[in-house]
Amino acid sequence: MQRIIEVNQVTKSYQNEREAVLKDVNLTVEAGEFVVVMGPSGSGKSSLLYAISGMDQVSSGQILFNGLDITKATDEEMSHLRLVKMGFVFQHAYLLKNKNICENIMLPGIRLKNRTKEVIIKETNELMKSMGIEGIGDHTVSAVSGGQLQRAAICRALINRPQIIFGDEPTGALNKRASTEVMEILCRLNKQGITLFLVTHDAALAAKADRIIFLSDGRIQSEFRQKRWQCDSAERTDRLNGWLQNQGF
Amino acid sequence: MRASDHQYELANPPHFIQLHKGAVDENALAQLAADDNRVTAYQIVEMIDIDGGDIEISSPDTTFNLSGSVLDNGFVFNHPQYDSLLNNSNQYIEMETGQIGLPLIYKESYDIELGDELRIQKGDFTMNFIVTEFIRDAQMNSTMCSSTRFLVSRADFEKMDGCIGENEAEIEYFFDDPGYATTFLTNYENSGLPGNGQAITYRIMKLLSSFSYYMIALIIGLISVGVILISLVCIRYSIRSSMEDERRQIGTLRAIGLSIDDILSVYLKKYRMIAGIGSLLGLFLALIGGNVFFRQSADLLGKAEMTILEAIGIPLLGAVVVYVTIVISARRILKKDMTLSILELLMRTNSETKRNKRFLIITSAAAVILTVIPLNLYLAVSDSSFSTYMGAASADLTIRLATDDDFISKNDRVFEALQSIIEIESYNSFIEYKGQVLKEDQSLSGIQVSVGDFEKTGLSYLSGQSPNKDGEIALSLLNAELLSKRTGDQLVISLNGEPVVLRVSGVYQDVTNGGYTAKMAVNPGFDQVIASDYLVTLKDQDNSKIENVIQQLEEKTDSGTKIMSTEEYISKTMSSLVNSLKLASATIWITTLLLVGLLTMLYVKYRILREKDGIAVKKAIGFSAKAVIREYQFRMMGIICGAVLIATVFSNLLGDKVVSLLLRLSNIGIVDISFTGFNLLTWGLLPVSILLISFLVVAVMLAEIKRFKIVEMNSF
Repeated sequence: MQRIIEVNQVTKSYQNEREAVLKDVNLTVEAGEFVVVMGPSGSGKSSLLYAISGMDQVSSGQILFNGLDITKATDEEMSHLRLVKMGFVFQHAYLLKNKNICENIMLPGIRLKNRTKEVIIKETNELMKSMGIEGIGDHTVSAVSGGQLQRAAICRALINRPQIIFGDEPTGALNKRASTEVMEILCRLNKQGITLFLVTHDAALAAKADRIIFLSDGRIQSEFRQKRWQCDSAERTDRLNGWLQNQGF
Repeated sequence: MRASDHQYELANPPHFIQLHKGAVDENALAQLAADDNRVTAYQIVEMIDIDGGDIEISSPDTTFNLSGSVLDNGFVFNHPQYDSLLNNSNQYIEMETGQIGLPLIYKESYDIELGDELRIQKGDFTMNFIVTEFIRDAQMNSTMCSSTRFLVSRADFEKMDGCIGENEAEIEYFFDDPGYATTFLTNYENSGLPGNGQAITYRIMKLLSSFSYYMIALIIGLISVGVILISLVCIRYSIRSSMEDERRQIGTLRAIGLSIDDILSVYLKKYRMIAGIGSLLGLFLALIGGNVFFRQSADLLGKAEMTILEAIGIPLLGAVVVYVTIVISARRILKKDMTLSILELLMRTNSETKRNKRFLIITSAAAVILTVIPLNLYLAVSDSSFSTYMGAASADLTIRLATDDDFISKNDRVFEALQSIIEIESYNSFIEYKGQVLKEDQSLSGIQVSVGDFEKTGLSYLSGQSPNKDGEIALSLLNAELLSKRTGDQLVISLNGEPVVLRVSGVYQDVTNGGYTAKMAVNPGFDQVIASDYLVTLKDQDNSKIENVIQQLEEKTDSGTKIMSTEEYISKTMSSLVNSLKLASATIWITTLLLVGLLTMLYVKYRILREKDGIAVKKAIGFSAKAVIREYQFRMMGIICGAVLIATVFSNLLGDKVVSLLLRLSNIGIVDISFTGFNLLTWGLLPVSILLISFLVVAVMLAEIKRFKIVEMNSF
């Protein structure tokens, strides 16, 4: 299997903070994998996500993305990688307020300039339809629900057909129903071959992953792996909860 | 302007002056005053005109004479009631024997100090004085006047009388209303009383004395309007923006049960305090800054005595207006927000794109207008052709010979001299006559008409053109107003009692020779000569050649023949105005650049901080920092370039119309000023400097974008 991400001895410290938030982290992610990072608040989950997606600098160590050391990449190179190979879904949708829903989704496609606007519009409509938000394209950001916004954010992450989607608490700000919908969408995307690397507190979402990494005090404490076909969803969640209790979570 | 008015109140300058060399019939003059119930007083001021070359000034370091001055130097003793010369403290003074009061304009031009010695010497006659005062002269305090006055004691004056210089009488009349002077001018000319010199009315005198200060006041007025405009935009922009930031907090306060009035009072208290401190600071800075531009006027005109109410009240009123504007703006915006529901307050997103554009457009355009118009005005005034707007013809040299008993032979010698000097390429001669014009009420009015070929004099006309055939006459603006004539109208003159109809070919501005002048190509039959004028063009306009020709002419002509280099005349007469405008233009340029830099800096900083989350999102989805910066640069600089371009075209093409309109409204006697046409400074350097500073600030401030990270985003 192709290795997408390789993290070697990564340490991350912030100015004015004595202790490092990531300490000698080593990690690999294979193509098509569904990886979830869990851990208590302040354990370094988000720092790890932003470091391996190249959105934040690390203090030391090496991060390879498709074999390219992104710790040495320029802003231009890193931006291009994010545009073409990576998609992001955050806790909040973070759509631009001066653009409508459709324009927000199209934005990375327009920026990439590898296809015509007509093609991008067609793809946007298809994506919105597949996410169940086809009627809100011309709505403003403030005029739609949180669940719809998050689905629009997923559409935006997918518009350039990325290799991997990074998610930082993608269901964290949603109600239960919207959360379930988003969860199902993400699982569907993973089944279609897109690698997922998510940070979450949501055990139900994490239970759907191939691998759960438990982070504490900036270090990977342990990993939990399960085969998707081994058992049903409820049983997987129970097994995960049991493992998490063992970690003191 | 109050300083000028105040000095006029103290000095009581005449409302009408007739200069005259030769014998004066005092009884006839007194009779004219007695017969006219509008005349409140009259007096004759005797003056001894002394050539600048005969006046020598010695300071501990240097000795020089006043031959380089273009002004006539008149020596007088003081008159307590009317036309008084004042000291530096605006008080009437009498000189002791051996003391002399020097005109303040010489103090500046020649760097003369109190205690310096002044000697007048011609042949065997010598008198020595000590400079004990600098004199403020309401009548002649500008280099734009043709004369200036020195104050001596009566005893010294009598010693000089008949021994040196040439005696001239200033016949002065005072009226219940200074505006009556134009009517009186006609009466005086019709009465046949002495008058071989200029007749000057109060209006022209005041215009000449205060012209440079009017111009500076005009510029400051223009700048004030611009700065007020910028300030209002800034105030509204910053209040609106900060209120939008506080909207969510207001929503929260309302949600927890505070009433609208409670919230209004909390927020208004804050804005009242900020506005109060800002207004007081502005008031303090304005009181200090105002002195910089008017220091010279305070020296020459004295400081206007203002009541406490005026001195403190007027600036305070300005500060109060600013304060009230801020508080009202804040109140209006707050009130508007209060009409929103709590939910809207908590959830509403910002929509300030239009306001952003307006802020940039107004500040950039105002900056260009504020710098280009004053600089254009400076360039126009310092250009050699400006004198043609003031009524003077363009030539290398001008010669004027006033009529006297020996006029014909003196004039012949001028002719001979002009023909004998090989450096002279050509000359135009004009004869100035005194004539009479038949007014619409059938009364006769005197008129000075200069006759000659005016086509090549380069004089600018407000309307129409120079007279070029028999029966045509061009009128100065003051005469056109006095006679209610416009270009194309008919004007009837009286020749030997017979009416002769002329056509007005054009109207021009004129502050020379009293301002009430006229020009004709062909003499219709006038026979009373006032003076002859010559405009001389040299083969080579090199300064030393001009000096050489002047020297030759002086040697070959008689005393009383006034020979002047036009360039020198302009540079000296206009020096105070040109220097003031130069200082003002440079100060405004630097200040505006700083202001533009500061406002752009605040704007960009504020804008990117407000859009920080959006920027971070763009970076997260694959926009490089460079691409985001480029996008902002393109948008901001596009707006700035557009505003600067439009403002540059406007200020250069229509700026003179704005200045002319303001001059017309201020009614100072000059109604038209044209800018000098294409100039690299106003079309290129100034707008480009504003663009450059904006580019620089935008580029530096936008670099901040590189540091924005999605990790630091606030939730939406």
